[in-house]
This record gives sequence, C-alpha cells and structure tokens, in this order.
Amino acid sequence: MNVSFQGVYLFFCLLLLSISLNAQQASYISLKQKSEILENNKKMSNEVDLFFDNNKQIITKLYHSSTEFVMVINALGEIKTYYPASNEVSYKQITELSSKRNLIYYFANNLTDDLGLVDEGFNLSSNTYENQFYVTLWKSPAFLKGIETVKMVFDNGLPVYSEYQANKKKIVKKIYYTNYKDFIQFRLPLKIIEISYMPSGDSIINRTLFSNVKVSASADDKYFNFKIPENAKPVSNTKSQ
Amino acid sequence: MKKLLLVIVLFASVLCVKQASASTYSVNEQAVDQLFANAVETNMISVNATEASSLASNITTTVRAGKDKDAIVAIVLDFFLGGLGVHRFYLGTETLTGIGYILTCGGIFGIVPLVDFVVLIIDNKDISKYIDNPKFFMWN
Repeated sequence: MNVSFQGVYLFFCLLLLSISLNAQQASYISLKQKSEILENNKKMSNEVDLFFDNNKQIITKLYHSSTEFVMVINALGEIKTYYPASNEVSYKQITELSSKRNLIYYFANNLTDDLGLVDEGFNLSSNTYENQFYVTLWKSPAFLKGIETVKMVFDNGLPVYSEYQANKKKIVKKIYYTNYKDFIQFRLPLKIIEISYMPSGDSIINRTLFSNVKVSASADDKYFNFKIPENAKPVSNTKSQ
Repeated sequence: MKKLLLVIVLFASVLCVKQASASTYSVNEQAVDQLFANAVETNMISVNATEASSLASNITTTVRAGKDKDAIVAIVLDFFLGGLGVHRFYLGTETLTGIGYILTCGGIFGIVPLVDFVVLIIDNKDISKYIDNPKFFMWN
C-alpha cells in the first residue's frame, strides 16, 4: 500500500512537471530586429519590433520609420499593413513572405534541419561530416532557376552556414548564423550575416541583429492581438507602391 | 624521437585542417563591423527590400539576384550575333550550347536564334526562365 502511494505521488509530480513545461512553451515571442544592408559603401538600416504568435502563426511587425506602420502577416502570406497616422490599410498576398517561411518560425519551432528548404521544394542529396561540422547538400527543384545546390553546415546541431550555388558551383550567396542564444525551448542566432554576390561582381551584405528577445506563454503585449480598426480606409497609391 | 616528431607533425596538421574548415564556415565579424562602420548612411530602404532578406525566403532573394540580365541587351545580341549563340552566353548557358549553335550552322540555319529573338521580345518583362538555361532550345 505504501509503495502504491509512492507511485501515485510520483505520477502527480511528473504530471505537474509536464504541465509546467507545457506552460512554458514558446507560444509568444517578441524581439527587436535591426536590419542593415551595405552596398557600394552605402548602408541602409531599419528597426522593427517583431511579435510572433506561435499558436496562430501570425507575425506582427511594428516599423519605426518616418511613417510608423504595423504589418500583420499570417501563414498564408496575407499581409495587412496599417498606417495609424492616416488610419489607412493595404492588403496583399505574397506566399514567399508567409509567417511560416520566416526564420523566426523555423528557429522557434526547432525546424532547423533545412530552414525551409524542403518547403521550397529542395531535396537532400548528400550528408557528410567535415571534422566537427555536419554538412548537407540540397538539390533545387526543377522549377527553380538560378540555384542548383544549397549547402548547409551545422555545428552542434545548429545551422552556422548556408551557401547557395548556381551553375558550375558559382556561389551566389553565403549566410552565416552566429551568436546563438539559448532559450528554454529553442536557440536563436542573434546575428545573421548574408553576403550576396551580384552578377556585376559587386556584393551586398545584409546584417540582421536580434535583441531584447522575450519568450512567454501568454501574450503580454497588445501587438500579439493587434486588430486593424474596422473603419480604416484603403491605402492611397503612393503608400502601396 | 622520430616517431614522436611524426606524431607532433600529424597532430599539428590535423589541427590546421580543422582550423581551416572552421574559418571556411565562419565570418570575420570584425571586418564586417568595420565595413558597416565606414559606410555612409543613406535613406531608409523599402519595406519590400527588407522583407526579401534573410528573414523571408532565402531562395526568393537569391533568384532575384541572379535575374540581373537585361532583355534588351539579349535581344540586340541575338539580332546581331544570334547565329553564334552570343545572346545565350550573355544570359548564361553551357559551353556546349554555343558549340551546338555553331555546328548547326547558326542554330539550325538561324531558326533557333530567330525563335529566341521572338520569345525574348514576347517575354521581355520576365526573362528569368532563359537565364542560366542549359537547354539548346531555351524556350522548350
């Protein structure tokens, strides 16, 4: 009888632990994202507050430009852009910009094996080890022109490098994922550096920095449930361009 | 003693190879920081340009980068030098395609560059499917 009581006690302890871990699921992620682009010794940058609702798979971005606006993106690639100052809204759908094709989605859900290459139609062609690195090669789908192979390199199970190769193994892009930070449910690179090689011989460097990353089990910011006012007018042509 | 030296050399070479691999897959962050620090700040970029970066689809961006070819240039090259397949080399293709154009007397007596000419004019707004196309008949 005594043993049975211990068993029940252990069961409840495990149940509580399980509930507790579930409660800490990365349901809501908020962060600051700074994007910088460098081309011909000129740089451009912008900063965005990003809110990712992992349950609804909705990304809301608050842009701090001269005209502040909010962008809401869902899993279907439906994009609503709201301009609070003028109470205007625009709609468009771009599948490639769906919330499920955003790197935040892949990292938050630990889908880092291919970082969306499978969704793009790529097939794994080989996998090898180079010292401590695990290297995978992905073959592009027939409909995708311009890219033949993507090489992904992992260190300790995390993607650290991607290389996009065109015809004759010509490298058109390199991406470095660095400064990984551990969260309870996932790991996120706080710095991503992309180098794109243009046909002209120039290159463009794109640097993305994540900061102030907050993970929560409940929505603690109004932008997680951002609602565009019903009386918002369709945006004027100049903004929608 | 010789054995010990051999082991040391072997160990050092393995270490060098490991370091070389590590540097291949890592970026010199200080150099990148320096480039950004020395660059001149310009106006805010468009939202679409930002969306096409790493946080959106990587593939989309890469393909866009590869599409930097001018339809007009391809059409002009086809008109004057189409029989030699010069427009195909401009758009990006295999060497064999050019040889094929020459061996078939200017692309089957000029028929292939003529069809290329027509399809380039028709699809002048989006010639992406003809870029880096290894096929002899690029429209097929």
